[in-house]
Amino acid sequence: MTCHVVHFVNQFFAGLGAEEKAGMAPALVKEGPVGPGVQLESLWNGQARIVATVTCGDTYANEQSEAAARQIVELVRRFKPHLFVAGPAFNSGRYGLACGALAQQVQSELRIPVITGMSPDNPAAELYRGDVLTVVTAETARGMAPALGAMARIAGKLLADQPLSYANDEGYFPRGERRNLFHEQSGARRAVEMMVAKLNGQPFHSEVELKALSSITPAAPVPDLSRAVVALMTEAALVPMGNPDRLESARATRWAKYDISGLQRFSPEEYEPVHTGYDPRPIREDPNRMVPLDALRDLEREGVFGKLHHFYYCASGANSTIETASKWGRDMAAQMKAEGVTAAILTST
Amino acid sequence: MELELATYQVNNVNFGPKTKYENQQLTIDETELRAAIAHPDLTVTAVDLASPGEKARIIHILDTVEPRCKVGGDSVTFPGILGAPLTVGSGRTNRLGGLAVDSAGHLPDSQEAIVDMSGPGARFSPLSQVHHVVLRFEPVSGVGADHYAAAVRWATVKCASYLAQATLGVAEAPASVQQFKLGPAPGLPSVAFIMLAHTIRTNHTWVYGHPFDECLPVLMHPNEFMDGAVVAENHHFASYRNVTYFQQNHAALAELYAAHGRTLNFRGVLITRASSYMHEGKVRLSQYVAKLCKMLAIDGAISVIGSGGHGYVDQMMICKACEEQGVKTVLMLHEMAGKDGRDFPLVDETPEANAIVTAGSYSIEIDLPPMDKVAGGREIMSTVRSVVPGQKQPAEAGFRTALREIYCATLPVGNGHLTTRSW
Repeated sequence: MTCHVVHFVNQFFAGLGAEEKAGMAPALVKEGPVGPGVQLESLWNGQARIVATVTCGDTYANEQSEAAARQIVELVRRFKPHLFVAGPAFNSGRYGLACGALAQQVQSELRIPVITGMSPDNPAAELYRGDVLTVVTAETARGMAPALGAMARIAGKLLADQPLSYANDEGYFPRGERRNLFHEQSGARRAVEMMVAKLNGQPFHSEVELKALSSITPAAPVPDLSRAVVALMTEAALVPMGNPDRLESARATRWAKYDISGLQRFSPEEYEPVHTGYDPRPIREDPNRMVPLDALRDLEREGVFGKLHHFYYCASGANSTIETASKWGRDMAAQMKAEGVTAAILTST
Repeated sequence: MELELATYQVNNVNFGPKTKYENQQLTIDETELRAAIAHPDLTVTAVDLASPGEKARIIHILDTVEPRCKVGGDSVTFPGILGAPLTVGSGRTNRLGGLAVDSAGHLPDSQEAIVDMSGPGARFSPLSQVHHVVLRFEPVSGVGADHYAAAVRWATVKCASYLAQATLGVAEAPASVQQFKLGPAPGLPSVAFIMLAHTIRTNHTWVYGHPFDECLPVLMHPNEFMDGAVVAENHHFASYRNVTYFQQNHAALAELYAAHGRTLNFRGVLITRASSYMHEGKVRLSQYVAKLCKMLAIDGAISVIGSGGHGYVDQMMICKACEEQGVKTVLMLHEMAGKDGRDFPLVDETPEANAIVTAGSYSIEIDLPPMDKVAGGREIMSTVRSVVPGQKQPAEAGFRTALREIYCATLPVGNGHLTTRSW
């Protein structure tokens, strides 16, 4: 059975005009392929056909994005397609944003697979690649043939319910999921080949593409420390003896807080470390080495700060994912704020 | 330095009245073996054998060593532990291919480490493909942890040496003899291998019997690794331990050797401590390694991660320091992308780290089936997530675990084929 596809192109690729038509509202261009859609359809060899081509001006799509999305979804819905294709947009920013936004809307409302294509430096790529399957294309329409080839191939797999290979292999932007697989070459072989390629200025693909970890803006300094309520916190998992809340020694799923009202120091008989990422022996001898309650009480007595908060916040940070630790931090901060805490000292391992 | 490495392949191992190697079969006299590895600070509670394909599970593995011994000359394999720390890497060495000696038991903070010799878990551990002699150890009462650890280390390499010596004087020819020598390779880019040596307070990397903790980076010849000059002591998470067996059978050094004279000039190994505790230590070592690369006119350096956690920071800082000096880098590491594969896979990053080879994400969980036989211990350690707190989990049973607990499943030195990609 031949699958039905609806293809979205902008006013230019629909053959309706250039910048002067960028303000046009969504419309059905033809009940069939138009422009690049003709070549795209032929690549499917009968597996699929484009039953409709829809368009929208780049300006309209960006400046009236909600209306554009609504209208495009309605146009697409009429044809009950198995797949929605948008673009490819190459490095055209407004077209890329239109493709990404419209594909995302169609995917979520009509619950059908969608695919688009754009170049790596298209601002829309970063924005939509996590949600919308986006093929990596060249910068300009000179790369139309390979772009359509990749889109046709990947769309063909989606339509046949075949699993996709990994992003760099198929040619789409990674959508943020890492999966293990067995490679035909050993890691050592791949490393030496990568080294030789890099030394010779030849292209290579890093197996881990790193995005910069986001930079956190620190809170403003405490204006008057002598009046501050300071909370003591740790990720070293120093817990009451017996670990009553069962904090896990690694990959912990929870954190806890403990009342330290009146407590001058952590005693080794009453507190123990349960974190697996450091040698616990010196901490078993004297827990204050890791969580310096004794020193903070001294400073509190001297009036260096106003008051030590009566709760001590305890997490077990070994092997935690960034997502988990971030959530703990947000939850802890919310509780601290509600409890009137001004500042916190976090000890880490 | 020129080393001749003779491989005597082992296709079968069993106990018998006399230790001997014949027709690719190793027979072990258990009484004589126990006598050879006897040490006042430990007890050998069991010597078990396990072979590929058996429904067997080995647990509580501390380290694994391949039987190797020197033939002639004054030096010994595992120098500094079995004998004087004379320089190794030359002359002739015999190895028992297809055999591994495991130490099993508990040391402070040792994590669970599992090898399934068959079933779905087997393909994740490269050591499921070799025969095992599993030495189960307990400390003698009153012995301190450091002394016990030293005794375990000694007894394990002693066992490896003892077994390898069964090849001395045998009539049959070895299955293969390889020559290892780094001759001149003019006109090719110079490449060094940077080894980050695992170090966390109770674990050290032993170089000629010397703990590497406080050392500045030094230059070594790859042949020295083949003779056991570097003995690992990594009892942390199982899947990314660069254990002694894989220092001896080091895939990255072997690939660099194979490429030497063809696509690169392999200059040697720079070994540096991983996981410096303080930032200043990390700065010192990363600067020092980059400087050594420049002094040696190194064009490219492949580094391997030594530990998790802190270990990433050290490796990234070394990468940055090298690239700033014009030394191109490739990083070999493992990753932890979370159970659903959606978390940031490493602990640290730097923009210069644009060439990374990954040995896989250890966050993935797998179900291990029941086994008929267990060596190394009786119950799975409670740190394994599926173990219900307060309950004992017999090791023969089936259970779910993360790849993290499968021994050498995400081996950073690259012997394995597991890797991770983005979808």
